[in-house]
Amino acid sequence: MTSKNLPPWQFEAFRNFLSFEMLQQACAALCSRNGISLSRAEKDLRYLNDSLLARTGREWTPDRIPGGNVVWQTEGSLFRNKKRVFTGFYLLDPSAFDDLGVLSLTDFGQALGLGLVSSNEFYERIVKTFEFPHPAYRENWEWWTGANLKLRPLALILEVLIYLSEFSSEFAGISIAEMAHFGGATPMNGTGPEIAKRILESRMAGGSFSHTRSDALDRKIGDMFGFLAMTPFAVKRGSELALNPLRTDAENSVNSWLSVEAIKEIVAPLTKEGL
Amino acid sequence: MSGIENDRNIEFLKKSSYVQIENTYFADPFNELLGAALQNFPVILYGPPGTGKTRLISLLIERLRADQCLGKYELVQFHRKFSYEDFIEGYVPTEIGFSRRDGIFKEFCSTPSAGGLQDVFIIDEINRTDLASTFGEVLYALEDRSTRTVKTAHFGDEFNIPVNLLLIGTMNTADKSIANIDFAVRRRFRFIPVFPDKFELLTWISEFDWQVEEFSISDYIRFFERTNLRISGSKQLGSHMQLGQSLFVPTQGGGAITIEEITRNFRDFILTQVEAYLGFGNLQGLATIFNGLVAEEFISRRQVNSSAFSALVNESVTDKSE
Repeated sequence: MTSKNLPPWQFEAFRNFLSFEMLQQACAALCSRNGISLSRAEKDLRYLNDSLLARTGREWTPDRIPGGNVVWQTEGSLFRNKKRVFTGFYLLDPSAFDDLGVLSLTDFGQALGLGLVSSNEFYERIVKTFEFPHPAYRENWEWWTGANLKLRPLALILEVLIYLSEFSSEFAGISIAEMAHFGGATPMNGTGPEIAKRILESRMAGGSFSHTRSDALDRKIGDMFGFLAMTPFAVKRGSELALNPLRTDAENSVNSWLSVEAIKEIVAPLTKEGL
Repeated sequence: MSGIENDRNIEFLKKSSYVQIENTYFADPFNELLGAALQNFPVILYGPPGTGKTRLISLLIERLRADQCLGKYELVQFHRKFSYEDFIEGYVPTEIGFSRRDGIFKEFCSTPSAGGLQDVFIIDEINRTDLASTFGEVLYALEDRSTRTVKTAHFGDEFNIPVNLLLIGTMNTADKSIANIDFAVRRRFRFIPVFPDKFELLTWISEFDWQVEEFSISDYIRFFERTNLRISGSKQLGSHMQLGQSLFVPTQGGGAITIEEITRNFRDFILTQVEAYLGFGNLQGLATIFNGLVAEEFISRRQVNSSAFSALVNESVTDKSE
């Protein structure tokens, strides 16, 4: 399979904006402006941006607004730039942007903004529900539904790590190139255990393989590694991602050793009644 | 909308649904509240207005009293002017200057009931004040209560929260100020969702003398369900803006419910509430939640006649698509 017809993996690159702490506060700011018109409310959007900045300490509009008298430009507006941060994680309804409707936080977005979702629950939920075809990404949706295939990439990466760690702690981390090369064409390339097995076989045979880096896949996998390293489930070790051996439960201020069984439950296939 | 677009929207709605999942965990909020009460764990009951949060607390008080384990209880309602000085301690102006005064919560904590009795302190509308500032050191004292004491900010008194004190708050999720609760407060409370409950509505409304001939109680319950389904599915509203069962019970009639009264209740409480959520004069929004006829009549004349309301209720029964 050439890189051109590889299954499209989508994931947002704004890593600093994807943590629970950041998105919880951002959704709290959005809660207070939920329902505003997206087509005319320049003033509201400016207020919203101030509120986001105050709550998160970060500028949410792109850093390309000139000084002087120009304080706002459509090209660099908040949602044009960061819309997918919210829609990709099911926090804002993407169709509201398509037909220039009103700012619409989803149930999940409202619950997050209202403080009803804990950090662990947030990360578990994203790992569980981030799935291709992804309804917030039109092209992704069309490709995956057209191919009649499904994939939960974050869960898949964790699943590969689980099987590697069960084999030997020495082999427990994976690189972006390994994930892209052995798992990038997934699900045609097989399940998590099958990918893990191929990675192991390659390592035991010396670990060299020929891989052409693709921006569409390797970069997205890198972004996913970055996100997973923010969750309680995984850590970055150099450029590799590995399971997190020590799990910190910030809410109860305790550390505990990782329960692989617990992560297995998170990456397990969704039930019919599931999300 | 094309089929594929429709499928995308449905999938997105499914993935972003939240209350549905919560409700499977919290099927019975009273038992959840009782469970927290047994451990004296601070709780916050949250949900849309009119879902019976305050009533659940009354039920808990009755239950504790019946079990002979209720010590004392106190209820305060937070509002924008409620401050640390009112809650914990502060100086109050007098005719000759200022005098020290303990706040309502400090006072309550200073005389705990003995003999295994449980004291209950209730804060209604807990999100309506700046919680971190009103609570002050209470946040620290809420944990490890048997060992923790803390010095108060103004007078430097030793303060602790008795182990037998149950702190209960209520908050309304339709109120946007709820978003202002910070992490320190959140993690010290257990959040119990209280959402619209058709069985509660059925039980409650069955206690009245139903004199409506145009539709039955079960038709009316179906109308309640459909209205909330439409609100939950609305992009502008969502499930946290649903209408609680209490909005659907006319309580002015002295025991009897007539078509005129239930129509008036619909106009004065239900329609006005949804209109406030959607924006005043939002004809299209109201028509989507109810129907065009009712919306037009209400927006143009601020009236709804009983035949239009009856038709709306009966629509919910015949329309099986929702």
